[in-house]
Amino acid sequence: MRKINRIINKKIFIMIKSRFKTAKGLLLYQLLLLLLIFLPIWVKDPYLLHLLIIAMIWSVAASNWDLLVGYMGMFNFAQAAFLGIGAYSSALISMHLGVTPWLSLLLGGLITGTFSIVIGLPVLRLAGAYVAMVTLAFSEAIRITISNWTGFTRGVMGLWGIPPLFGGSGKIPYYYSALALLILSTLILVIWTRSRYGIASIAIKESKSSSESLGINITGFKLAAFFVSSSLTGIAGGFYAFYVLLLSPVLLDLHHMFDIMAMGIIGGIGTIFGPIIGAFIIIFSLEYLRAVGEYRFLIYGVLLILIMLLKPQGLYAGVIELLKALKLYKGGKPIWTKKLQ
Amino acid sequence: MSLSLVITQIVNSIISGSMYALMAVGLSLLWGVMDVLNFSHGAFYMLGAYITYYAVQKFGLNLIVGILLSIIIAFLLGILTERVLIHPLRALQGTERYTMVTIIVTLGLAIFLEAFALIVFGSDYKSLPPIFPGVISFSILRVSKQMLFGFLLASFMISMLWIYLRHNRIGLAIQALAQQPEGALLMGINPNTLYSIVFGISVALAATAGALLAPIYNIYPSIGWIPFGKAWVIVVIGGLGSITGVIYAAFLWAFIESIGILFIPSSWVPVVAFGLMILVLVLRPSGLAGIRER
Repeated sequence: MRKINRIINKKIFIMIKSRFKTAKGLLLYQLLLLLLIFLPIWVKDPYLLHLLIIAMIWSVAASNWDLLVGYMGMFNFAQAAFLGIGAYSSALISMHLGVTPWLSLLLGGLITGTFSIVIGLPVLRLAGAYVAMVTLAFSEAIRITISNWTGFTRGVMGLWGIPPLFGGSGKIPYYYSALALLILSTLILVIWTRSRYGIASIAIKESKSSSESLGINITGFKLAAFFVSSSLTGIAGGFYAFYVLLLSPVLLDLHHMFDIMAMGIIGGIGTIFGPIIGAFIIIFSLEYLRAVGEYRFLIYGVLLILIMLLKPQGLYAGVIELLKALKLYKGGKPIWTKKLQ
Repeated sequence: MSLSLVITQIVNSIISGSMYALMAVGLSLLWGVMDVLNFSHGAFYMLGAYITYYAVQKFGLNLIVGILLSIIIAFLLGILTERVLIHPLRALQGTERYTMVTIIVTLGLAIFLEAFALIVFGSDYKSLPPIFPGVISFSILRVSKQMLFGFLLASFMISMLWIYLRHNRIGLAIQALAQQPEGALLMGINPNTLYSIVFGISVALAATAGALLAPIYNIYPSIGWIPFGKAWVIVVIGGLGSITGVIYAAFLWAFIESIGILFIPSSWVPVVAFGLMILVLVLRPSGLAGIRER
């Protein structure tokens, strides 16, 4: 009887192990997801919940930034601006047109997507350095416009009087809607990057001329990626507006763009999940490690340089390597680990 | 609008154009030779201003000595930066990933230097008293001596760079490297040394601009970003990698800016600048005088 038990136990163990292996670590993500779903049962502290909500909003921004940078090879400097456009447009729509917050959240996302098309069309055929320049210029132009247009956006005085998404003061509904947004965004990103075009875009990023000779042309696909990623970012921005209820042009500041970049690069570009981990790490360490808050940009600067020179695949690859060493994971490498040639 | 105001603005535009050219030429040179879009350019501008400030204010040195000191320190720091940060990435050169990684690394350096300045020098505004006080006036025209001095030194630096690139052996080798890296290698040109020198020259020019403007504007850790943004606009209009085009564009841009301020509020000027830059990129991606199709 004991022997049979042992055999069954061993079989279950092998089954679980193979599940980890064949599903490319999917079970790991499910466990993390379960943790996030059940976290509010143990976590009652509203401040901690607030941090989690904020971290989830920035996760959406950082992972969508990763879609453009890590997969499409488009260095987008306007991610904080997209977040800001989404926040301001959805807040202004619901304040001036009396649209419900939920609908204006979607409209805000669409408006952000439209802005991204306006800026995406001219940069599509340009090389990486130009994309960086144009998006940075666009981002600054939007920020200055919002600061200057005091009649409409109240500029640096800040936009207040935004209707909240939920009545009452509980954080739980916000927590679950932020989580739903994060799950939706991550699902879209994962499906997108595993699709035929997603793989083709990696090929283009790695070597433009050789993929052109293979007949890969994904201009339209790049534009669509730009639209989808910035719409999702815009929705996250709108959610931020209806949650924090106070907006100022500081949200579009270049330093917030550096935050997003640091989240993406520390987490690992070209991995989607890496930037999400990065966002949680940065939001929480800014709150709880005083030294990090004070010397934030000093640390960012050093980390950006060190990671790029020594381990461009970031923290995510480190986690994967650890899991592999523990024989818990068998999947593809994140794309940035692959060497050229 | 009086005539004297317009004339004053035109003269101002020539003076600030020379400063813009100083900033933009370095950025353009680096792009043309090394394919690196240096995000730390503005940070070296900031360093130049701080070095001059400390040399003059704390150590009581002459302004000229302070400017020279900032040029030398920036040049050496530039060589160090190239050796430590850019050189290990050279294997990637020519790929999209090289562009992206160098942007991230130089941006990391910029963020680091700004935070470093904030911690070491403090966030307060520092200002130098003008070394050449007073104005020169010709009938209706008034120019401050300080600005005139900046103009003369900036013009001198740009002409020196010009002569260096056209007539010096190393300058010619740099040009050869920009045009034909493989060909230059076959002629026995060692790219590693030259890349370091180019990086050093480029950031030393930025530091010169910072040092020249130190007695005119306030100094604080994030001053570098605005000149950097303007230099960018100018480099794009003039064409990345084209020195002549960039000098024309610098004066054109300074003229547009000085005259534009008479018509639109100054807070909207950056929006117009960035709009113009995007327009130029859409209509003519290689810039108004770009030598290279990108």
